Amino acid sequence: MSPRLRMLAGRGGRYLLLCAMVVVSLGPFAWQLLTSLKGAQEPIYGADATWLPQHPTLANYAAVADTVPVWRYAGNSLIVAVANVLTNCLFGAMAGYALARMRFRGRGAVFAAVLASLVVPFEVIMVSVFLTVKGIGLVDTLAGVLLPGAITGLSIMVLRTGFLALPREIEEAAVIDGAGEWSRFWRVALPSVRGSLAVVAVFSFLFAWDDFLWPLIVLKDPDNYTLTIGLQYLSGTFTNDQRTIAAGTMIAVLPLIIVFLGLQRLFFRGVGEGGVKG
Amino acid sequence: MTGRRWYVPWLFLTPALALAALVMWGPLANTAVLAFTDARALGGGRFNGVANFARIGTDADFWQALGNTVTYMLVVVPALVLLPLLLAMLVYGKLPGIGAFRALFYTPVVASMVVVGLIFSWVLRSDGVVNAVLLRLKVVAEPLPFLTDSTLLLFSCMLVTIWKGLGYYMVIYLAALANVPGDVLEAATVDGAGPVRRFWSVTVPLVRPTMVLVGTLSAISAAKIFAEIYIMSDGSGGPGGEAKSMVFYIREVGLGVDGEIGYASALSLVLLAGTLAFSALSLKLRRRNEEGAHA
Amino acid sequence: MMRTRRWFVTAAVTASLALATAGCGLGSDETATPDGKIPAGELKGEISFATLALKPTFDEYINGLIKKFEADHPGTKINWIDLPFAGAQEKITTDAQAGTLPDVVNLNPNFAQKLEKQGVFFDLEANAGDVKPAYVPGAWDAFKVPGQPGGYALPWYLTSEVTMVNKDLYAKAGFDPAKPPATIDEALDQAKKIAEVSKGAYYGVHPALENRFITDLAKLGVPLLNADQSAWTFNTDAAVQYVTKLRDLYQGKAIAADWLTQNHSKATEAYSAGQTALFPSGPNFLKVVKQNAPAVAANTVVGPQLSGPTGVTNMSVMGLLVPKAGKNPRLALEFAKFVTNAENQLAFAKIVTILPSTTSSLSDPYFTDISDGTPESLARKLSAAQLAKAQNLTPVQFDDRTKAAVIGKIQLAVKGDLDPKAALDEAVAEANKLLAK
Repeated sequence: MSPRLRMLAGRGGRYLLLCAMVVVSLGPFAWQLLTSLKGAQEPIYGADATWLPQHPTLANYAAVADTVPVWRYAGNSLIVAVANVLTNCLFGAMAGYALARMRFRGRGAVFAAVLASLVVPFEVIMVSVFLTVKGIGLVDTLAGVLLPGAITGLSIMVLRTGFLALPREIEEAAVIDGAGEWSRFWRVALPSVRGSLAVVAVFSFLFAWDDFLWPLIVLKDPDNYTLTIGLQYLSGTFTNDQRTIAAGTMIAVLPLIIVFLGLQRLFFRGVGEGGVKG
Repeated sequence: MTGRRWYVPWLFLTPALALAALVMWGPLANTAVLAFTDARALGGGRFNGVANFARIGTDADFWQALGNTVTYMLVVVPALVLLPLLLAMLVYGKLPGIGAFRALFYTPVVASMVVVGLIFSWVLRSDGVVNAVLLRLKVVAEPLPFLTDSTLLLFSCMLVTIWKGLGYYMVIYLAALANVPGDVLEAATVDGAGPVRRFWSVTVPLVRPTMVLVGTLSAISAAKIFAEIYIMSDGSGGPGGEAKSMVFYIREVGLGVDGEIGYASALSLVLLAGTLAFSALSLKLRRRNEEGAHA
Repeated sequence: MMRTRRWFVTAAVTASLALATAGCGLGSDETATPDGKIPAGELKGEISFATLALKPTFDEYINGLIKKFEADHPGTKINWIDLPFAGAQEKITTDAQAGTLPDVVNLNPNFAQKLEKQGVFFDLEANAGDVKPAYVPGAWDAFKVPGQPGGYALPWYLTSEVTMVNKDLYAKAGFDPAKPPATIDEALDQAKKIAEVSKGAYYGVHPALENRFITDLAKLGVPLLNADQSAWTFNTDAAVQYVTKLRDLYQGKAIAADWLTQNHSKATEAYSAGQTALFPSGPNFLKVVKQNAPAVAANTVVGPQLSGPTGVTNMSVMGLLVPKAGKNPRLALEFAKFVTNAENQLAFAKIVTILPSTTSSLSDPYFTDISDGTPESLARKLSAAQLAKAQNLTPVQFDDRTKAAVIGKIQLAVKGDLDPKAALDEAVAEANKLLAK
């Protein structure tokens, strides 16, 4: 086999594998999408239900928009999610940098505390957190929704790992240049861990966007609701239309996919562009 | 790096630590105190020494939940350290349309757990696809009770966790691969080492810190496993509740109007201690790796 | 001693909060006078009103009520909040702990009971005794706390199960859809026959143990609790027979293998998918079936609720409660009375298949008129007629944890891992342990 043929065969095999994985990954998602496009007269369950919509329609999306102030709720969700991304990236990077690059008394203890914070099921501390948030007067505000997730152990861990993997020579060059701690962090180290920052951004966005129980507890005024709570209105005591619920879920998921598509390029910037070399 | 003033690291840490103190460690300390009381969701509670911890010792439901959780970790963690790395390798590099694949593989992460549970229940139920195939191939004579046998139910939930975790940890691996100098990987490709050999001798050492990270993260989230079991069992925790995990049990004990906050807090402390011990172990492992890398 | 306990918890909570906030502990501030009376006062000001999962279907109705009330009482403002079912329990619990409950809150008896016991709500027998005679007695009594005087809610809407029948599937087994089963035993016997005919293609009835087991026992005449309600007693012979029957059906494949642990929502799906011939459920689920499976809905007839030898039937009750933590209980109570009055409840019942809890509205011809021939109006008529013999059969002590413990044992028995008698004994023992706490 010529090298070229071999390369083509290899590439073909790779695409085959990729496509197989797509089927596995996409099943539930596809079902949701297809359900959301089904007409009112089509069955959802049972032997008569088909995969493809027999009478495809966008009416279910219109129904969601009619039922729930989607834009308003999505706006609230967006504010919380973007704020969450910013706080986690910035504070997480600062803490992660200190833990990865600085030697100081108490580092072990801080690190253990960060780890510990990953372990606690949120439900266990929820009431105490609510009392705290109430104490600072943030009940029924988006800031109150943001607070518990504003910095997570996960963000610190991921960024710390990112900084650890960074060759020390980069910063040592900066030391010779005489840059201060902050500018070494801000100008040299931070841009080099764009990949990790993208991860933290994706995860923080996902977390804030998806969270349900905490926003429900902290918010009172329906005008402040986030999308996940608002969409719960689609399945009430007297209504449970799977098509509109599916359409609602699709509306909630779309921004996540867009954020991921937007950020995934960052995972690769470092490679081949000399980004790492600073 | 010498000559740094002692407070500089703390300046870097302050925002994160202040926030965490407010919404995590404060409440956590509260939990630690409550673990030594008989507090309930409503009304008072009084110091009762180690009574809660003594109760844990004889609480059969706790030991069952602990066993289930440990089993869960033992299966899920190795799978989630290895499989997402393979997936990341598959979508790493330049190939037409590869970005779209990456995004598609990420969709399980964002798919709603309720819908995922619904689909997996269809696939795994007694007249579902998996059983149909097994019956056709004559691997089994009777449909396997994937959803109504506690052990098999746990196994089914693990499948969901792994499936949902693939895309999640793939992202972390992709970032790690992006952070390593590209020429190293490319050099290995040019050298013509076989793919398996290249994987073990080039890729794995490069991403080893990330593997430890993924191991730690997946272990911690497996220790907290709840949603999969809750949804796949329709909230029952399996027949007789025998597939409950630690967090499932903690929620059952502590949530609700009549929640036994004191006992639930004690259970959480035990979970916390166990997971911390495990993480300390993996840290030791990582430190050895880091030293190995610098040597 | 009491003081020390109180002090300890308060210290535990506040000491650990980074921002020590004065006055927040586990408990709530109360506006009540010492004798538990709602203080008199002008009807002015603002209150919040929380309902369970009514939005958005009833936006128009609820907003209409609010507008009318505000017009009748100038200077008042009602803020409506609707809580989705998912997470509602956690939210209410957290609010109760933090003393931030809404001024008027819509709860069902099982949910409300623990809070009532803790003295979170005003006793409405003392504060609204004047309107008590207007409500169906069984509904009012559903919000009493065993062994404690007082009643804690103004009953709101009621539902009473009917039996939906998939005509085709039912007829295929040789049964007459015009004569659906009347008793639990009959339904189970028919389930066996239906499974024989269908050979696994569909079944007779979904057990939905989590939802129906305890009320089925009550209908079969099994005493759930002893006289002073201090111990569970449902491990009787009749219960053993019932569990044995379920087990035989399950092992004889007359109940699908996966249904063992499933709940009411899966039962709804199974019926919508044409997998069961019979579906005992509230009449409001006719609409849910119609939404997701129009063909099955078109093929559905309804029959009366399955009962037992005693003929007693079950009803579910919703109520409006007034928390003591509210700032304006006088206004809250007036609004609750307004929402649950006969006129407004009748209007509510006309837009959805629920029943009003006010006796006078039930005598409206609307509840006997089946001239349009729809399953909905028949269901309405049947469930309204049932109300005379209906009670809220689920004891308020049957909370989520007790339910999980009991149903778990029953699942093992139905599966064949535990002897029915042993399972019921163990279930009673575990339930008693929880009751003693």
